[in-house]
Amino acid sequence: MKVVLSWLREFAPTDLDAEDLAELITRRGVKVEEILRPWAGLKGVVAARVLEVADHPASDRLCVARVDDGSGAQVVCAGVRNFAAGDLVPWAKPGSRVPVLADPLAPRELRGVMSNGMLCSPRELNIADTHEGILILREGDGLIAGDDLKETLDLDDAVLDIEVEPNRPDFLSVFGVAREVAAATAVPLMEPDLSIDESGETAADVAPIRLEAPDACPDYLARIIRGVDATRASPLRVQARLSAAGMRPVSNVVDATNYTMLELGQPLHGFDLNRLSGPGIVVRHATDAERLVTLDDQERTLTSEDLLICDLAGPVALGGVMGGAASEVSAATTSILLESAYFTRAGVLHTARRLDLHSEAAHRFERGTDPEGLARAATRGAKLITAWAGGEVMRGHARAGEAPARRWVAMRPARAAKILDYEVTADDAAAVFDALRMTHRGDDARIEVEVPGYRVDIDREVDLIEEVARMQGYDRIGSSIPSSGRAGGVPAAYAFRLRVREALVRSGLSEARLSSFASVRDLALFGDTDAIEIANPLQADEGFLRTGLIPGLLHAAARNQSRGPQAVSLFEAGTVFRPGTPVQERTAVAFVLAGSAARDWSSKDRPFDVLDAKGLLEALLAELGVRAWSLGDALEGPFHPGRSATVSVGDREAGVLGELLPRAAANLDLEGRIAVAELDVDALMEASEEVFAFLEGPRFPPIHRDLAFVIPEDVPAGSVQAAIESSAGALLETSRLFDVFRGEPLAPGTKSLAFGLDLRAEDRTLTREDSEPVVEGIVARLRENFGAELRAE
Amino acid sequence: MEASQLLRTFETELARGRERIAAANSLEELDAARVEVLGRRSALSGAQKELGGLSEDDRRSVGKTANEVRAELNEALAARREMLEGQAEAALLGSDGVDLTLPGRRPRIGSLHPLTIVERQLVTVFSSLGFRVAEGPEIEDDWHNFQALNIPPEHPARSMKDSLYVNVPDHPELLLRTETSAVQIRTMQSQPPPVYIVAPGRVFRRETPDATHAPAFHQLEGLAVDEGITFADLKGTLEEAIKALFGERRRARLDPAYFPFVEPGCQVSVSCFRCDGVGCRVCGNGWIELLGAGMVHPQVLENCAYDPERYTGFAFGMGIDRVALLEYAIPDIRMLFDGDVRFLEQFAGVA
Repeated sequence: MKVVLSWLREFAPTDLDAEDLAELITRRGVKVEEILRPWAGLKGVVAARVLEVADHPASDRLCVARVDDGSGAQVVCAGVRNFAAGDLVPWAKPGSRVPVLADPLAPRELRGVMSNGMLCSPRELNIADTHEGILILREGDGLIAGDDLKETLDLDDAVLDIEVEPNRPDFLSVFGVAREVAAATAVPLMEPDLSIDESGETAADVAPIRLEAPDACPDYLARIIRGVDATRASPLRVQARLSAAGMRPVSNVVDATNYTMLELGQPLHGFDLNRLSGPGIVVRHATDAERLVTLDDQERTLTSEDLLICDLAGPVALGGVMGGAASEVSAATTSILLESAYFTRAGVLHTARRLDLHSEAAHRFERGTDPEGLARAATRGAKLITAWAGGEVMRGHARAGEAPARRWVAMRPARAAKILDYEVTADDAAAVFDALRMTHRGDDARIEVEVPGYRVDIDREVDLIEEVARMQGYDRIGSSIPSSGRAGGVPAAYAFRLRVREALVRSGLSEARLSSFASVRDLALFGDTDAIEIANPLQADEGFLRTGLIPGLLHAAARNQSRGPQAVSLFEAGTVFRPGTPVQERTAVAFVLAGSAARDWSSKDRPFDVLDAKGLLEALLAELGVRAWSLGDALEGPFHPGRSATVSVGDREAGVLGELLPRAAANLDLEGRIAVAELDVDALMEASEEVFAFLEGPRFPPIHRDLAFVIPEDVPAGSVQAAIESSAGALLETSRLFDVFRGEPLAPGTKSLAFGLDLRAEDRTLTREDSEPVVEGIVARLRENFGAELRAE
Repeated sequence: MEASQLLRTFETELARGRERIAAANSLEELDAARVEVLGRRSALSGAQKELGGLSEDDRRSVGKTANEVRAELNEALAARREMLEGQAEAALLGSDGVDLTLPGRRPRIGSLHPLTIVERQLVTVFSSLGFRVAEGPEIEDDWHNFQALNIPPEHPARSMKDSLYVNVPDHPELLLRTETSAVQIRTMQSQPPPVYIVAPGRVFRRETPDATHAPAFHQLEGLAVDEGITFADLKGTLEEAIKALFGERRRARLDPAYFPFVEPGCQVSVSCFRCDGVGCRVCGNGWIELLGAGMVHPQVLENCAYDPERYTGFAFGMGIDRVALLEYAIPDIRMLFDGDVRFLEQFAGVA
């Protein structure tokens, strides 16, 4: 809500400047987000009389005017020609400033004619958002030639941009904010000018109201105004205030209803009385599939939950939401039925949401208007209409229904003290409610407060305690630390996730946090059909919840590659989603490796590949105490069949490891070898063996033997090592593959695998003789199993 | 053999040994010389074996000479070794220098995500104040996410526009949680008071991404419910957290604010850590809005079958992303979720 400061001061005449006032009321719960000064850039623009308008000698588009502000005639060029000799126009002379331009104006030659400044449109002055022509000043605006616009129109003004929380719809009006300002600064609260002259017919006879839906509209009131001239604009000062408040000036009658709404918070709707089939108004629910063309020219199909305002022929407005096109006030309007009604929040909310119609009126009704303010707003609106459009206000108002009775809510000062932790007496509380102009009664133990209609937020004791706290100021609140009486800490699953992250960081990976969403294409990459769909995604490629982390990491890797040839080693630990009973959330961890694995200038430059991924996996599982794990079959889909495998932890499949097929990588805009792995963190946690105890070092030295075997190419190294370990028996302490060799002098189709073995006994120093039978056994086993030959020792 | 003969032999061997040692030009040659001059099969050792055949007096005096010769030769050997080792080392150093302006061979240093770092800081602070971490699902139901938090269906803060719903057959109530506040409800439902928890996690809004908005971001929810919890307890607890996070000199400011599940509610700001509360481009007026908080609304306690007359509580919710943006001067929230290694690797070693 944008509140113009001079407007606010009409009701709460505070001397505080905008900054001090903003600070003060923010601390009382009226949050000023920003102080705007729409006319800070306006200076020295004056009213000038047009003496003559002529064609520009060298341009069809421009015209040349002679204007005079009383200091002598000067020539100005203009791009439009909506004005004529005799008109009074805003003239930005050389040296003056207008808000839309950064620099002061200077004489400027326009195609051969020296132009002294410019004539201004309403938009160029920040008075209204229209730019079709030069603003023509009128008598009602109170200006004569030579007047400074900013001074005469009081535009040296500030605007408080207030964040209105849904519980305080009374702040959606200048007067509502003024109430708080008056309470906070102890200035009097001035009532708006409601003096009108009534004459002619009686409104209740012109438009008897029949209220058939008191559930949705407990109270409906209307005034009748006749003889208006709706063809004109409202005064400039009004247009400027409306624009500063964020509403577009339209015409004197429409502006009067909007001005009243902004001022008092009560939306008014003006019907063209001559376009209603009268006499009378019916307020009723729509029937299913009933239709109405609203004033945005859309035909709306309604349900029985929508509320209609009808004339005797049919619907003319969607109650509280939007008027109908057929009965709209126009320039031709001379008689007006001015509606000021109380519509319930739920009803307006329902209709506005269903039809996605969000008018200023609906915004206020769905948050709650003041049910007690109908007559006041109608009178104020009628006064402004006749002031700006002429005409007469008919006698009284037509009305059906009544405002709901006021609530009384009780507060115990002792309870307030218990929550706020400082002493609150009945007198303190009474002072607060007095400042807020709320009637109260009661004693030291219990105060009852009568809740005014505009305070829709006050329902129970704690609402009153909040009033006391905020009006006394939160700086009164002390500072203490409660004792929970027990240690803090984190649950095991949370701690384990942090361990996973820290282990991968120690291995040199960087942690990423990526989108929880997945596209159809992401799912298709792994042939995934079992994902949870987002009902209302913001973007088409965010249509599902991710089932795994790899697609997000691949996209991140591609983004990195697009920025340059940098190595990518990223991991993410996060939630993945599956349909379940009804949904299943698990934590997964995954990483991606792409680009050069070389750490620095001295290491061999080679790309990351699946063995780097496997090494990271090994290190991670070792750090987490997961010992029972194995690789399984090669993967399908986008994975390289010779460089991928499932990962099992314990006896269940818990992840994947592999490189992408080159074409799959290219489809994702990735270059080179791309190695990835993903594991289910919950499975890792189950398999993690947490017990750890120090092992004493061996007391006797080992015998070290290096053995190299020539083995057919298709025998996996892991099988050879397993055979060595099973053959060697208890004396073998460790076996480590330290070299793989292919080529001359080895026969094609063979490779050499070299293993270093450490044999050790617990109770004696082994001799070379002790190791001989072990080595012979290994040689024999490998020959038998794989046709391996001992190549070197 | 006569004593005089032996003495001569020792003399000869001393002279010969000295020459031999002096002639050794490498450590290997010196080793060979040592064996030749002092070894078991050397002439000196052979002569020493003859000592047994002498009279006791001769044996004593000649033996003394033998030991002196041996000691002298050992000394010569040590001196020569020292010299040769020095030479060898000098030779090595001459050819084994390294250009120390070359970059060193570094181990690869990984990095935690700034959100993880901030979350860990927050959890450490609140854990030290006696709060335990609690967690809840990211797909929530309407009751936990809204209704139990005093946000009924007709509440203006609720609309299809703000929340992301999921299509799960027969479960229209499911949505991606919009706040971690739902964990408050789940925790209170699962245990009797007292409750002291913090709940970090990812939350979702249907928001078009820009520099300050992301469709998924992270919050840390706090909840304390016990007998006698006051607004002052809320302020004191948050002041402790703010000082731990942003420095001892920081102050907290509470302004009234509205959140449906707390009352009285407040917006908590911290004195700006760039200008120390004077006012600058980061903060404007010296204060930076940090989080929303308040006393748990009695309706929320009632919804969880807690007696609001007996128990009171406070709750707060802060944006982990917001803290990270402030703490590390990150200009755009989208940078947190891009996976740009140039961004992420800067956080190596940040604690």
